[in-house]
Amino acid sequence: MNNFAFGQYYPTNSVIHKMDPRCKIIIVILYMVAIFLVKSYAAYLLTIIFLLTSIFISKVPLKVVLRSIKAVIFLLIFTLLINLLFYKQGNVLFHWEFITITDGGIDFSIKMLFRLSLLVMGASMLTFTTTSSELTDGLESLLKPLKYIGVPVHDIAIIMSIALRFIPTLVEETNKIMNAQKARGAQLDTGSFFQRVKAMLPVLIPLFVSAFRRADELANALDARCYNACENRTKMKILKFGVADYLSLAVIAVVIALICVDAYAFGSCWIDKAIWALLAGI
Amino acid sequence: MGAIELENVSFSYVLGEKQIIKAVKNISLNIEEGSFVAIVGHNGSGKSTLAKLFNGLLIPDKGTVKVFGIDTKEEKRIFDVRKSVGMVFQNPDNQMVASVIEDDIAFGPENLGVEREEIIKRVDWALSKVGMLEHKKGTPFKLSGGQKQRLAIAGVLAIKPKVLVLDESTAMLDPQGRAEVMKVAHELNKESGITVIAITHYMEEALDADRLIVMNDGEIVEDGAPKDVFSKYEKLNSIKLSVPLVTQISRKINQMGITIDPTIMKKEELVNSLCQLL
Amino acid sequence: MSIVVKNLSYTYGVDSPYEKKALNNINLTINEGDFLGIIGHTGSGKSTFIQHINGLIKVQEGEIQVFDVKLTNAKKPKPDLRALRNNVGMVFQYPEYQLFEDTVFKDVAFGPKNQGLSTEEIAQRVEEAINLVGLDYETIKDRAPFELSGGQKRRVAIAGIIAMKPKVLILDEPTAGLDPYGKEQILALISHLKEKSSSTIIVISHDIDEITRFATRLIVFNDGEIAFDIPMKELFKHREELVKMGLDIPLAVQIANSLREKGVAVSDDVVTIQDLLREVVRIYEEKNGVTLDKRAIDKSEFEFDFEGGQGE
Repeated sequence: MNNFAFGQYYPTNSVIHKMDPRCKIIIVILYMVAIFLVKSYAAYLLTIIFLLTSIFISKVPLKVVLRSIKAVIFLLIFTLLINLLFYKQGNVLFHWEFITITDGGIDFSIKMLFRLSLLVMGASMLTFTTTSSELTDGLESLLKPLKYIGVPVHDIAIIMSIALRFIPTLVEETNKIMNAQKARGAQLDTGSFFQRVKAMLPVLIPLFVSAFRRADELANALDARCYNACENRTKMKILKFGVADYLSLAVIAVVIALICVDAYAFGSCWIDKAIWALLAGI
Repeated sequence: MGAIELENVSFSYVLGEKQIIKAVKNISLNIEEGSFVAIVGHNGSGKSTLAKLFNGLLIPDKGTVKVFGIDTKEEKRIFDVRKSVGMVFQNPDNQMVASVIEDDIAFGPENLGVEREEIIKRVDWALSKVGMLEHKKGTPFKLSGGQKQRLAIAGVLAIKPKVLVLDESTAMLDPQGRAEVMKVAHELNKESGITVIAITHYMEEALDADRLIVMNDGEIVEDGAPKDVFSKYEKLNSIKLSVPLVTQISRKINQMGITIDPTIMKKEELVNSLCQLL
Repeated sequence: MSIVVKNLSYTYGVDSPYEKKALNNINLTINEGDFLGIIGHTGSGKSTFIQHINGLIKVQEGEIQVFDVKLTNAKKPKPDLRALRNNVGMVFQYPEYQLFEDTVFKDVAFGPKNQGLSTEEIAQRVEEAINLVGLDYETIKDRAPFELSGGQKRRVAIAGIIAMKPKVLILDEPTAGLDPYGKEQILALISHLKEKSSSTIIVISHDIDEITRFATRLIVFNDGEIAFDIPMKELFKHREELVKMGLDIPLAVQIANSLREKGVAVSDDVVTIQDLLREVVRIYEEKNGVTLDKRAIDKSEFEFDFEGGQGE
């Protein structure tokens, strides 16, 4: 892959990289919950501080983390515009035909922008600091209770592991085939949507053929290495919570508590209101 | 008792209602424990099908395949068969299940329910056997083809097989990668007493084998010491095979009327013979 | 001069932990009619270089002139990639993996069709190309590529490039993964193509013994730089450097060298097996005062006839 893409592991050997993947998954889930609980700018500031601190500790360059937003930039702009132009609550600042801009709309769309960017950056922090095998191990361990209601947890984990393992291989293969067809004069990136889909056939057909060929050999390799040989499969790596894990769980718990206090106690968003009042006074 | 015994084994692929390919035709064969056997044939000669019969990936239509006395038809004991006969395939990219090397090597013993401490020992042992221990914590993506294929061998070694089958495992490698893989295979044979069956279309890889089996059209056409097989040049040529480059040179010199052994296999031997003549 | 490369440099994954300089200040001129062999390790930069020539990688630093098309890092004017690719035909590694149409004819026609040629012209070129690679046009044109043998598929893929009539033909590891027979067939095909057209041919290979069989000029890539650019005949002079780079030297050169060390007066310009055999015969004849039958020297392992579709 030529470009450093969203979701790739970024090795730095930091404390966060060494944390238990289960803990990181739980924290990311809690972090996402927190983002949806946030109502005020003050609380957004708190989550931003939390995110920036973890980026700092992880030693992943801020530039790299910000680049993960680039992947979803169109989605961000799209939602920003929709909210800005069509959100109708609050005082009308501008009105033309069917477009209405209100102060409530500005407030809402800025918050939505924060919410989505924080989500994307948080999620990519998980993949920047956790290898795909750690992720699958973590998920398998977290989903273990489901085994008792008949969910094939291990099979799901191995499917995930193989899928993640083959993404770079297939991306490379796609690039190779695209290059080969471009060299034969194929126009892969011009024309209407329909033309482009049709133009992709010379890439998609060989890619599928190759994926099936790979799957065939992989199935043989799995059999040859005794996959499904016994009920009691063992694991080489055992996951264990350390000090950093308990500490970070405590931190995210405090962050959520503060957000809840801000959002639901003393009347909603009291810090924001106090600051607005203060600004209005000046 | 041999490591693998085949008795009148046949296998066909059924492609359509009327299209049947007879890939292996009535083969009887005994692979001795501790030996290094090369099986050579051009593409479509049935050599890969034969390989997959050795560990029960394919079950014969007719005849029996016995691995250390166990019939591969016995479904209940299929994992005893696969534990004894490890197999490495052609494309190293298609044999890895995990993105971290040590996790991938651990996959086999984990499947077998081996104790954790033992798995850790086996991973280190298998990686050191193929000379890849330093890459234990790394990912396979940036490695060369030869290195990746050595990892695939380590993944199989971790099961502690008695027989290692290389099913065209060098076909996609460059000359250096091929040499690396063959070196590892010979070391495993000599130092660890593992029986090796190397299936290949490169005659060069059969040079140091104890025994060379030549396949054509689903049948065994030659079976003997490499040097004896190489002396049957015309026969090999007629089934789209060739002798190693050094042997080709010695043969041509012999044909021009110079008295030299036409089946010399090693470069050093050829140089010495030429020195005496020139 | 067909291709002129000046100060070409390229870095992968800029600003990432995987940043790697793939090419460092490459300068090179490829003349019309050259029969060029390129060797180097995986990661030596040879593939990156070749992809530049075909406009598949954008130039970061330096410039490349391919016939009338100039490639630089400037955003404008956009280079005419279509004209470029009409001139430079590229056969990638395992080219059979790019076949996608349901008949051989349609697949070979894909390139010429993209060139915007007329239906008659396309049909004529497809027939010519299929015959040229030694396949029988009438029997194979309507067959599905997927049911052909490995060697046949590869030749169909090569025909797909030849049908575009490029002035420069680049083949990347053309024999990889084939059995000895398929390999000999492709090597014979490359020599045949060179005989049939005056075009420039560039072959990339890991196998030096293969390259010495036809290439007249050798370029060695090492660590993103051109380590040597020499006539094939001078290969022996650089054998120690090649070994130092971890590259193989041709078997004939190794044997000639060992003989020389043991006091046999073998000539310095032995590169191919034929050269070696000729030298052995010459020395033997001089020493023994006899004349030998030399027909065996040029005899190939397998005979292929590419005229009239008898290549199989």
